[in-house]
Amino acid sequence: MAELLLDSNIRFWVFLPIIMITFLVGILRHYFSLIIASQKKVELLQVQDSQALVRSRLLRENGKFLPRQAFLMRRHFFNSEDMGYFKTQKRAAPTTNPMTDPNAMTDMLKGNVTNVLPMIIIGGWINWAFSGFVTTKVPFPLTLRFKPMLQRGVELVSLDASWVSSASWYFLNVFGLRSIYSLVLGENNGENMNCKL
Amino acid sequence: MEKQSKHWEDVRDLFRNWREENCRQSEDVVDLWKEVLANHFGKLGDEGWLVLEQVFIAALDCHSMEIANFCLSKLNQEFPDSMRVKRLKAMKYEALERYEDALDILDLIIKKDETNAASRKRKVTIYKSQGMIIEAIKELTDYLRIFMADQEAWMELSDLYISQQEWNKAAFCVEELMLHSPFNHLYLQRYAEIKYTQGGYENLEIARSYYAQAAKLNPNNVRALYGLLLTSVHMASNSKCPSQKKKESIKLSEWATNQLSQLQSSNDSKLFSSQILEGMGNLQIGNDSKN
Repeated sequence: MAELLLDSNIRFWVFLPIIMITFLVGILRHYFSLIIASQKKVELLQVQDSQALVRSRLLRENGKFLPRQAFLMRRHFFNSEDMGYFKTQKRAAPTTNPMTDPNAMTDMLKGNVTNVLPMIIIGGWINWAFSGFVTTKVPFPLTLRFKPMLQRGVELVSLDASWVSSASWYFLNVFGLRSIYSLVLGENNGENMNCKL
Repeated sequence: MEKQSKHWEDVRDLFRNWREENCRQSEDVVDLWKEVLANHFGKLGDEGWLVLEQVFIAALDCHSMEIANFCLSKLNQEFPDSMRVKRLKAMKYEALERYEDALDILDLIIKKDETNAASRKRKVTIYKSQGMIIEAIKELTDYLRIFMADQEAWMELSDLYISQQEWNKAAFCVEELMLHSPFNHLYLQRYAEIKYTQGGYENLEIARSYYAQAAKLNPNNVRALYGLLLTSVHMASNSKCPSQKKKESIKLSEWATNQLSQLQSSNDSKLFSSQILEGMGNLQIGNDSKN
């Protein structure tokens, strides 16, 4: 496989711009998802349950500092067969099917729109604008099976699989920069691909 | 009056500190506000709303109703539909002793948002400030049935029960606090005091062990040391006490006395005047047939 020498203009006008575009669009997506995120409404029962769980956890961890009778009394309150808190409180099973739950549906929709749509639009633009040449080379050798993944738009049979075209470089950036977002934006940012696609 | 030369930024930082540490220096807050920050309010930005709330509560404490009304009107202008501002309005009614109005506002807030814990707690304070302790206790127990992990509420309930001399229930509340922070020597000491007040041999035993733990965690806790001394002396002189425990108790009381005398000699002597020591001796409950 011949050693290819790339025009150094590619470095400035393709390689770095794709990184900048991906990064900045990612940050925009994060703020956008913050704006359209719906306010989570908590139910009284949820609050009660979470507080009960905290109290029972404390009882489990620090129960040895109480007198015996006090500990037994509290354990009876939570666990007794006929009137214990954990035995008698019934909760409706949460609807696990997202199709029927309207709230989960809208959240999923918002997640999809925010994440996938920009990816498609910008990926298409990059493919149109930066087509027909290789952008960069990954520093380790790869097998030929990676060629269709990494060389979208550049169909050359003899080209080493390490060479990456611009569209593929864009997608590599999208998925690779997600860990950088957690450094920059803190945890729980809009880049979390939690949407059940 | 060096306060006038204080730069408004220093005052702002001081207020922030007090907010974070939950200090209740109401008079200082009101004075500093009047002299410095009221003229620079526009420069505070978003923090200004927190400062307004802080000054509002301080003004209610000092009964400076004009300042309170000014703060409330500003907050109302900016956040017209806010539950938090409504709650502050209820506090103002409470300060003016218009308890019915305050209760109405709080009930409205609770109906709109059932999970609003702070409004429920304000209801308790309204009952308490009217002296209706029984209603306050009932309201607080209902609150705690839902929000069972609220330390502040358990603390308040234990104080209310102590004022009603319901020692068992007060002990229950302090046990909850001990579950939250088992190494806080003040909770241990309070629990031991309740048990000691209840009296009876088993309670004395429990009190002694908790006083000992409190003294172990903080050997400078004078109340715990005195408590340890008194309970172990009582247990030793009790007829129900087996001889081995008697020896233990005597050793503990000697240790406590040593600690106390060390503290006395190292501290300012007027803190531990001999009259106080004598008075403590006179406070001991007599050995009746009850034990």
